[in-house]
Amino acid sequence: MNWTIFHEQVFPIRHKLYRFALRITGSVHEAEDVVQEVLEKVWKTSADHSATVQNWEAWCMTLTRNRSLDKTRSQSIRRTAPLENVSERRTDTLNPAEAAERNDLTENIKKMMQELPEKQRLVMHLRDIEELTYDEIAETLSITLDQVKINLHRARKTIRTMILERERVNG
Amino acid sequence: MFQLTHIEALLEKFWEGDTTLEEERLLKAYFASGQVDDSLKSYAPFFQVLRQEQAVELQRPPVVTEVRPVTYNWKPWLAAASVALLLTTGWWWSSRPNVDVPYTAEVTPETTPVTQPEAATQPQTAQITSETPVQSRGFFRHKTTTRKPSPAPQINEEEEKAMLEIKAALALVSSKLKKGRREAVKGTEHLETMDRVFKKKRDGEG
Repeated sequence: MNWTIFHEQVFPIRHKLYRFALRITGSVHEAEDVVQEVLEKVWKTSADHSATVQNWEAWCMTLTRNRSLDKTRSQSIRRTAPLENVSERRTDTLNPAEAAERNDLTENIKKMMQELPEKQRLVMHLRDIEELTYDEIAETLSITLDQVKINLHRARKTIRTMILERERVNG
Repeated sequence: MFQLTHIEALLEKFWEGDTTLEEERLLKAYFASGQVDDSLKSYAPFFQVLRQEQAVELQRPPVVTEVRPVTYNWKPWLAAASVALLLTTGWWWSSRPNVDVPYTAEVTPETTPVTQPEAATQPQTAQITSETPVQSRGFFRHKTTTRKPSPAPQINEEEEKAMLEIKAALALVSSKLKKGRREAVKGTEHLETMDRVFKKKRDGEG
């Protein structure tokens, strides 16, 4: 892999890698470090893997997952809710009470998503946020297609249950 | 436009995990449209969260340095080493001691009572009595050479007589040479005298 190909195929997915690392580590700084390390590793070792790697994005995602899990397991990272820096708040059409309630609900959903079991959390992230196919998710996480579908179903079911429960409580 | 029944059906498939990526994108577009039916508004925050998370970007730009594989170019170094080796060898060869005539030889007085002429040397038969260790001036130090003196050769009467005759002959040659040299000097002086006389005579005529 030369510099041009690296810039065209790997560098553009840095945000995706960062989001994935952030989903696993829950720490902005740790996720940034993971992306830096992964990109360096891909660049330095790409010549050794250029013949075997078919999907650079999936390979980078796998490296990101492994590196993030290593960091999470080696250090007791305090899980913080990701996306704190996101400024997008599409509540402009709501009145203040509704906006406050919506923000409260979105924060609860984020928290619920972050507290899902690891596989469910990662499968849901890769499917619903990164929009990967089932095959790509299976390759990235090194699990079977059935495991992908099962974990996705359970994750969505958990979120739906929480939403319906909250709706029932609020009447 | 989105049909509510279609959206509701897609939403059920979504929660079951049976939707395709295209169907999921359609649902996301619906909930982002701002025209969500009241019966589905409770799900809107979930899709809002998905949109927010998709917008998250890496703020710290990664730095990847272009690292070239290390290829060691040994050819210039080999050439430089060869030249250095040649120069060193040449210098060492030129500065090494002359091992052919390393010692001065003289005849011991007990065996040869006669004095040696200046020009005569007898390295083959004479006893080596003095040894001069030779120290190299070069980069590589030579081992100091020290030879044990060999026993004095036995000289019989005939050899002694022959040596005396040789010395007498050499003395005769030397005396003849001295005489010839004196005669040559005398002849040169005579020629110079004649030259002065002729010169005076030419000056007087002029």
